[in-house]
Amino acid sequence: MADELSQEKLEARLAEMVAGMMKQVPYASALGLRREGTRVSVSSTQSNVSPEFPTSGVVFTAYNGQAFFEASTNDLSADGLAKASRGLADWTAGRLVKGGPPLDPGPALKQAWTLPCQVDPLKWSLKQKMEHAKQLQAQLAAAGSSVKNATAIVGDLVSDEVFVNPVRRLRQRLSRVDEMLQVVVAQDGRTQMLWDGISRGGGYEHLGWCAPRIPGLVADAEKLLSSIRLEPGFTTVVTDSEWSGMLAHEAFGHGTETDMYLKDRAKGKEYMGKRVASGITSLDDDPTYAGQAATFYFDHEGALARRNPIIEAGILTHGMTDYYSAHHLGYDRSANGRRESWERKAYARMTNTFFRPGQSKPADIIASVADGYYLRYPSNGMEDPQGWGIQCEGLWAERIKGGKLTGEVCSPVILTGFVPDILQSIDMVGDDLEISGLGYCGKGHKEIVKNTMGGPHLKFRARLA
Amino acid sequence: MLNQLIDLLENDDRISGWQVRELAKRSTQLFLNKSMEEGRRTVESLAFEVEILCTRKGPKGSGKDWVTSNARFNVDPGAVGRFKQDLETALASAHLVANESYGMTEVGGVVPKVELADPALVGDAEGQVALAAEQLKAAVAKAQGVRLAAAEFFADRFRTRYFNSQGVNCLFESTLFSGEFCLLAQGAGKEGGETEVFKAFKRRRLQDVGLDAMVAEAAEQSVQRLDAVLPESGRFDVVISGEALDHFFSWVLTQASGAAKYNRLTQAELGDALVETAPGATPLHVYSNALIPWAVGSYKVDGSGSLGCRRLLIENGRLKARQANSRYAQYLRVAASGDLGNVEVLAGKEPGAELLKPAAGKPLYHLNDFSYFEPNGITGEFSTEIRFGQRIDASGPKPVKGGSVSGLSRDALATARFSAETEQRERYLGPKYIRLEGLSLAGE
Repeated sequence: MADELSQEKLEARLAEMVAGMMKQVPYASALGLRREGTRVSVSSTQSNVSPEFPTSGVVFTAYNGQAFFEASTNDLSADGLAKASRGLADWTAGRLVKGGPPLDPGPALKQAWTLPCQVDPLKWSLKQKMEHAKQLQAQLAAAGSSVKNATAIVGDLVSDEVFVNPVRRLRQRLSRVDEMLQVVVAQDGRTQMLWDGISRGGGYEHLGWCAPRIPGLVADAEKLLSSIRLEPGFTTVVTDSEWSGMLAHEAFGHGTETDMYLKDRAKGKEYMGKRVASGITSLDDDPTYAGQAATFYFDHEGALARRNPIIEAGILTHGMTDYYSAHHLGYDRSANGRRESWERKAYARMTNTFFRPGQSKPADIIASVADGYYLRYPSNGMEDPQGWGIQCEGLWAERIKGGKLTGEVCSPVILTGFVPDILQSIDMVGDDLEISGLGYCGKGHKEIVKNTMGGPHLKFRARLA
Repeated sequence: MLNQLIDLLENDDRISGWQVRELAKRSTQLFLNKSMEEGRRTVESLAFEVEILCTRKGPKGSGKDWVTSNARFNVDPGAVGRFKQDLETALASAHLVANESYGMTEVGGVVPKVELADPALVGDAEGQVALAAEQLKAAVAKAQGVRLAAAEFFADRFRTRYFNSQGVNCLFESTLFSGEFCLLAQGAGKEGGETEVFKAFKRRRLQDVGLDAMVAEAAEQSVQRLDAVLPESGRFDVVISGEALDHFFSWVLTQASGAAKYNRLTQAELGDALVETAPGATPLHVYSNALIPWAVGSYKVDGSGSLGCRRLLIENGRLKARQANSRYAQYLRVAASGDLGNVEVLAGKEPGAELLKPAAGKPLYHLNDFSYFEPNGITGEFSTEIRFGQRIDASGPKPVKGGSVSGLSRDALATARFSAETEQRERYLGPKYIRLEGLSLAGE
């Protein structure tokens, strides 16, 4: 039974399978993923508790000298795993390609890690989670006369991951906690919805972020009820940390995923070592960042996590690699080979991606703007690594006049432009740094993985509409 | 395994209603790096989705005579032996909530016949992805001035068994053939060399994808993008087609949604005019249709046991009926329509060519590729980056890209004109071209 199989036993079983596959193919590996958690939501109309009991699956990988072949299954019985691994090895062995450079499995290592967690999500009772959500919801519902529906969500996810290749046996336990608010307000025939919250690596010690922000969230939502549309045009823009994060993610996150380089789908390849942003702009992807929702110790292809500086003082220095593209491009591996689940392929994906803080106080940045907009509450974005275009959408653009916020709010707002033009126009970088973990990221329109994005306040020029 | 679960649920008198969905999936996946095979994958999975209901007297002060506690959870095939323990946890979870009372879907007629499973894919998924790769390569070879950057193909087979406490049961098979490809056009574009067009698709059968036509259109677009310029800024008539149609009606669908009504995301009442059709515009009629053969949004039985049907939601711009699954239908006291099926929009009377003619003295924009186009379901506002389109005036069409187009669904639909030609897309059956008046463009 899968449930009775401990992670140690699964590791041993996978190691046995990989050793068997290695008799037939030049490289083989296995990844086991097990997830367990809870999601509690309380709204003005209903409550829901969704226990996520442990679900597990395994993906076997075999290399034929040129391409990766994989078999995924959630039949974790000894027979089920043997059938999947042997079938894959046989299939791959019949298609071997000789002459290519061998894959580097990395230095030998056997290690297990657990993400630090003060209050273990699995030890908090469902009742405690429900009570916390109920309290938050009651506060949110009472925070404004126009509130039609107030929702509070508390959730957690514990992921156990096992990776085995010919020289590595790695295990990690990653836990994550979410605390979120969503408010629907309506007045005079207009309805708006706004949300906020956190998703953090660790345990229930992170709860408490939302409660102090309730009055501000509801006041902002009510302000959206009288928002107007923005007059389109080029303007000076100041972004808060969440908006800066979306810019980091869409502009240069996707643009430096090296599986896109390999397919000539990202302009970043031509710009390695060249200037792509103003000299005060630096950007990291860092899966080791403590306490973040996309923090881990090794990626889904067994690469150990490390900080990856993508842009240093405006110069594009590194890409984010998966195993296949790093091998074919001759790049050093970074820990960016990630999967949506055991059912999906690994791609080069972001982890915690953010602009590094600079020297300016956020208040000074606002004060420096003669006429422009302050952007908050990002909603979604879309990458275009090959054309280097960008689309970022949000719900809040507040007019700045004479260095002061005017209270005039436009919604929604869309920011578009040519990425290098935008990044090279960054002329002030805040000394603050916040990272938002609420987001998920797709590759194109699918392959959804958890990642975080953030940065300091930024000032630049862009087209808004 | 399924019988074990059902026995336990049926014999537990603390449970007033239950449903189990067994989902067996087999997936065959092929990935191309340029024209070379990057990898192949096979996936086999089995999962059980369980929902339990416990209806009891409402707690004092709740104002409700009866309340329903519910919990949804998944059961791993290897964890069936642990199901009793998980069920206790689920019951404890359920008792933490006290929602308005509702029951499981009752037996409501004959399971509809609708084609969902492609025999070719069921019989030879490996052959279907290989065939798609060959078709794609051949189509790209025929096209002028483009090369293949990457492609992915997924051939998925599903076997679903649904059972609930009220006696609804159904077994059906379905297939999905999905994927994406990316073409690069070579030339001396302003950004220095190549430009990309990315296309994603999802159908039940490979034969419905039409890779040859998709490639031809994408290739033409790739080449034209090399010379594309920003659109002007200002208000212009815009014709949308292609991917924009997939989500263009999201605002009216939210207004019609039973879940959105119950959760107060919409204030619209049955009979309300959502769209006041202007003279000369096409009256808006929208159906949720789960019975279109081979359409991705079609189904026999939805996630809570309701039978697939075709339901008129918007008639002449007015909210005629709700789209509601069994639970929200009970809450709102309307007939259940099941989960949203395909969005069917009645076509107009004018040929597309007529809609693509600019008004005298003013250019028209035909936009058919966007970064992501989905109006806000609550407010109806939309803004999206333009990936490709054409500015059409008396001198003919000129390619544009970049900048954005914005508008408000209610206003845009009031003056919209729909083409007589229709198109069936992933979950959309309706006019192929839609002309919208006076949208705001932000460009030069």
